[in-house]
Amino acid sequence: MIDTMRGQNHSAYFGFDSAFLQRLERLSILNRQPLAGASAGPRRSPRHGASVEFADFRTYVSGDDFRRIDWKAYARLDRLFLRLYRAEEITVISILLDHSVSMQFGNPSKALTAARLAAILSYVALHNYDTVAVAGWGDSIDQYFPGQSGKKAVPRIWQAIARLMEAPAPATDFASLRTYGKYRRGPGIAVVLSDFLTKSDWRAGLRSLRAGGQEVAAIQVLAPDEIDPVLRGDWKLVDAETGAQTEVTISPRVLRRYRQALEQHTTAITEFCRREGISFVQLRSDVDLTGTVLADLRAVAILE
Amino acid sequence: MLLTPLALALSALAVPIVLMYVLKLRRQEHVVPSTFLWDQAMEDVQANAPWQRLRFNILLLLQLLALAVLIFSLARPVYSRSHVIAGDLVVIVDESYGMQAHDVTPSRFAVALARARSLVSEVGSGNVISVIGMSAQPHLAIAEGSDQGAIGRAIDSLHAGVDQPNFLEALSLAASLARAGQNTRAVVLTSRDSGIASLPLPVTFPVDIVRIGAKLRDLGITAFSASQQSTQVEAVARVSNFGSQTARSDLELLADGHLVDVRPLTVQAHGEQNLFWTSLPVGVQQLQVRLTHADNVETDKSAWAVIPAEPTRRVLLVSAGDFFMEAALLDEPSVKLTVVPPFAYRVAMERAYDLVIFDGFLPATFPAGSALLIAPAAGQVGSLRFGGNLRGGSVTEASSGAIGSLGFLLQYVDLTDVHTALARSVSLPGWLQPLAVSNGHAVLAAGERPASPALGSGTARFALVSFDLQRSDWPLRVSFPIMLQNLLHYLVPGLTLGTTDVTTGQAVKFFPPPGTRELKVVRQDGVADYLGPPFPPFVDTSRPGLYTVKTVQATSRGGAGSQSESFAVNFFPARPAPVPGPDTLHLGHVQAGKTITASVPVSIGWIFVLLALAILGLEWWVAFRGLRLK
Repeated sequence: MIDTMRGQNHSAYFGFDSAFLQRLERLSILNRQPLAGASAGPRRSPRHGASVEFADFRTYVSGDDFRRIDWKAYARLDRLFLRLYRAEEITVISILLDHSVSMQFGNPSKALTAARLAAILSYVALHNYDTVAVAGWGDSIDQYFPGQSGKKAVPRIWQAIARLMEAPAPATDFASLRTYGKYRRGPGIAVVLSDFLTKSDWRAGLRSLRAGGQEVAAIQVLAPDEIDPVLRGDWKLVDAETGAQTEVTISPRVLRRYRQALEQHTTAITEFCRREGISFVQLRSDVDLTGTVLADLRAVAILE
Repeated sequence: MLLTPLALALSALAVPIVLMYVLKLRRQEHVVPSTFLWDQAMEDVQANAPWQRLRFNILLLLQLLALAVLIFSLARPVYSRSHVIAGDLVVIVDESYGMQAHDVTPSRFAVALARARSLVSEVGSGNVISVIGMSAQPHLAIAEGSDQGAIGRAIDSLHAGVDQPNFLEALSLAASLARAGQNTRAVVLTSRDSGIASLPLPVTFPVDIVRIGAKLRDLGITAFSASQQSTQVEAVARVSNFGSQTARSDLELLADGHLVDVRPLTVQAHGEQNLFWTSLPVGVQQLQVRLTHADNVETDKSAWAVIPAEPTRRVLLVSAGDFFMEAALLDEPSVKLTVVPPFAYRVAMERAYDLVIFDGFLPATFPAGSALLIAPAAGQVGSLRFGGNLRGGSVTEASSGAIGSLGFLLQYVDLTDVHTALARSVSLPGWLQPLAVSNGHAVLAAGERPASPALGSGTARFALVSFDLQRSDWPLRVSFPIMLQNLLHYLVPGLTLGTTDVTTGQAVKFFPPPGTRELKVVRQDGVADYLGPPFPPFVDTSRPGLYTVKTVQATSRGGAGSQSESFAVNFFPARPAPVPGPDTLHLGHVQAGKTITASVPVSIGWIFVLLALAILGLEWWVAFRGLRLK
């Protein structure tokens, strides 16, 4: 379980130093499609606005702002054209963090790794003047921290992330993501962090976020023991979330079948995300977050 | 057949094995983040009920099969062998020359050994086996053994020789091994023409005589001897055909290794032919005859003979002149005589002679070798002290008690007509034995001088004639040259053999000269044996051929340091004509043609133990190597 970060230095809590944070400041959250945000910001918007980035011309119609008429074109062509500029708007980054009991396993725990990833993404977003909202979910969205903007919001967001880790949800149910629309409407980027080890319909959960106008990125965090189990012999395995029991005799043959099942599950998520335009990456909980993980996130178009 | 059928009750062990598959294993709990993937990996994992439905499982099948095989092996499965011998068995294997014949493949003896092994393997448990090797002196290879390995090694230790089989002793030895109440049975494995069928054998227990052999082809030398006459050497040989067909071959005669004659032979079946040679040159020492045509037997194709040669005796006579003595010595052909007057005598001369005779002269010291002292002057030499002359008279033999072991010196010597005028008085030491006396005084004596610094560790023979020959009538008597010859053979004996013609297995007695430290006997193949005092008979004459014996002296004295003689060892077979009849004869209390049989269980449990291990190995492989046999 993660201790509270109250009274601690935030960067030290997540294991970040100033050099690492400076590296993060050169990054931004990548949106594949221009988003239509509510307020002006540094991101491109599908709506035309008053920024300096030229977008197109159109014929003047009554009621248009005179200030956008291209007088030079009128002088040459003797017709009124309106210059259109791409609107630059603020994007809302929603970090949906699975804090169920299953995320507490691993060394380091999947929950800690997911929290550190959330902290990295929130820092990048806030540094680029995006709005960051954090939702903790398990069998439901049980905690929600409304959007915060500006670098001054970093401590609050990180504290909110840390608190999520202190109170694990009893189970993982991707159906709970359908209710995210109650907390956040409109376009944005939703980053889902989970181990995806659930029988719940994760496809429906991710689709619901897409349907709510979110551009979705999915990050699967697995413990090393889950990728390559070290157990051997006869065991009664108890599911930490459901309490379900499975008796196994872990032999080399059973291990092969387990790895096949994991590979099939990973392939299913990857294929689904590719079809739905969702960025997806699988990470180990012992991954070096200050090292190669940034390259991994850039490779799958979550960061740029 | 099962010797321990009660072991099948262990089949009940199958119940707990099946129960282990019906009852589920009580497993230790382990909390995992999710059983989502494990459920997919273990599709056939059952619910948590305390038991599960028994399904087909290859592991269960293999375990039950291994258990069944193991239990079956514990029940001691056996199978019965028919035509086996019940009771103790004594196997007598003929090791005589007749077994060396190759009329059966590979040889009669090899066939006999194979039959012996086969007989031994058929004896049931609880009975013992003895193996006797039958040669001229039957020997026990193993007595009352039950270990098949040890019995096999005992059979392998047997080997065929070149002597005659001794059936009576072999059967007597077998009878001593028979245990009361154990149905002891003897099987004699012998050659077809061994002659046992015609022997009256007193058997008190069943004896099977297995005669091995087929149609024999054997032309062999059955006699060979040679002797030296005055001007020539004569030899005679006999060649016998033991086969049932006329045999032809050449007979070669070699003299001292050189071929001197070849005789073509044609000998009728079971016939023989004598051959003579009468004009062989004098001087030949060794003769050999050999047949050139090979047949089923190899050991009777050669024979040897040695012509004994008289040794040369080098005699130094220190005398002012004695006609009688010189004439008598020169009459002995083995003597090479040298005469020197006393003033010319030097002690160093002794080293070149086998015997020194001092006639009328008393040396200052005894010579290192043999010596004969005749009519010595007054004085002392060694422990011998000579005084003045005594009046003589008739010469008579000393008492037999005084002569002791030297009686052979007076063989054929008649002293009744011998007289002497004077005789030197002498006090005899203990080692000198009187042979003749005159007027109560010893006038003739002989003996071996004990060891002294001059003699080293050996002894030297010495004889004394205390009167002057020229002042007696002894030189005119027949007994004089006989006595002188006896003394020469005693004082210079040379190396003599008990005999020069020896048959295989016969002991040879050697008579080495005094001072011999060791005898070296060299066989024809170069193998040497050594004999030391007291020189027992040489008994290792199992191989035919020429043998050479050499003396090794304790002290080297000139050219007389080593002497050698040769003797021939021959094997002359006496092969009776084969008696027709069946290969196996039954003697004793068993009817002819009837074989004692019984069922002997032969264990095969070990096969099932190995099979059970193989099945368990397969079960392990299936369980841990992921072989899907469902």
